[in-house]
Amino acid sequence: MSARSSRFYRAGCTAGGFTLVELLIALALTALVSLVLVQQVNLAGQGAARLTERATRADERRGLEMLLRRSLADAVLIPAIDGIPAFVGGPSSLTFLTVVDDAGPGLYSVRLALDQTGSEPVVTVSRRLADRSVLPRATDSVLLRGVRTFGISYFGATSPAVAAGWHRHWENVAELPALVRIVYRTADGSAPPPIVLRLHNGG
Amino acid sequence: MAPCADKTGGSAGFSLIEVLIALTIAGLALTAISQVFGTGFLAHRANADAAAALTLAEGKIAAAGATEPLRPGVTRGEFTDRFKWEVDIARYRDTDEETPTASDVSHLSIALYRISTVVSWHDGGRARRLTLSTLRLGPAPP
Repeated sequence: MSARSSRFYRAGCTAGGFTLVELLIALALTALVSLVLVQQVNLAGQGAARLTERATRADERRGLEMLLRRSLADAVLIPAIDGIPAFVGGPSSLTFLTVVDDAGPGLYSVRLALDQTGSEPVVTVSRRLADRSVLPRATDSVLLRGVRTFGISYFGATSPAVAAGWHRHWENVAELPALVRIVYRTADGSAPPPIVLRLHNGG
Repeated sequence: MAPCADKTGGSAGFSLIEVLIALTIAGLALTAISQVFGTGFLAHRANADAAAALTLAEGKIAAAGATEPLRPGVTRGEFTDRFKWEVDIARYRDTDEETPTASDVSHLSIALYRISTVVSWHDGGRARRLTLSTLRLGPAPP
């Protein structure tokens, strides 16, 4: 230290300021440390954004499962109301009548469908009272966003003469299907396990 | 530093070492904060895995006895190389002696079956398992 003082600092005062080399080293080190800091902050930000996105997906998925387990599991097959059949199942849409819903007691018509009209495909659910003269308005909500593929299939015997099997359509059948299976894939590439649901009044 | 600081009125500023130490401490603090997100991410992933395993197990229980006849046996499979599932169907015997007739349906052509589904997966080196069981009526084995 004494050698350093005699070499770089004037006699009588030890605070002669930094030399150019010291300043450059200081700047380089500061830049390096700042770079690491900024990277850490960026990583943390990205992690938070990804976590939020995943949590949203998980919430949406839970919403879909809740709807299916509460409403679809208690689907009922009764004669058509207002000319609308009780259960119309297609490969990417499904309309059914159920007695269970969040809105209160009554008979509800619920429609679950893949909507590809917007910028990104979404799965929507539309609910209304089955008796349209009481309350004609339907409440629509988006269940899943950023859907890449969405398929519904139905298991059962479409007539007493044929053996039970999986079908892409379930329409004008005297019974409800025994099982409904929903397979979907989201835009981020994740493929959750298929939701397989047993209908209490089916089969 | 101290002698000169005295002469110039005590405003000598920080030394390079002090600034670097301060930056390093700030860096360590920020790294610790960013690890919180990492922990949250891992927790979320564990939660999502458990939810997926539950969906898988519920689906297997729903399909048991519908897509194939209800008969005793074990079936195994995998879902996306990550989840291993096993469905065990066995005749159910009531071991409670106080209600010996509760499950005694031998005079009927139906039988009570116990369906157990086990889904197992690995979560960061830790083995996880989820088991669901139910009872279901089916045709009596011949």
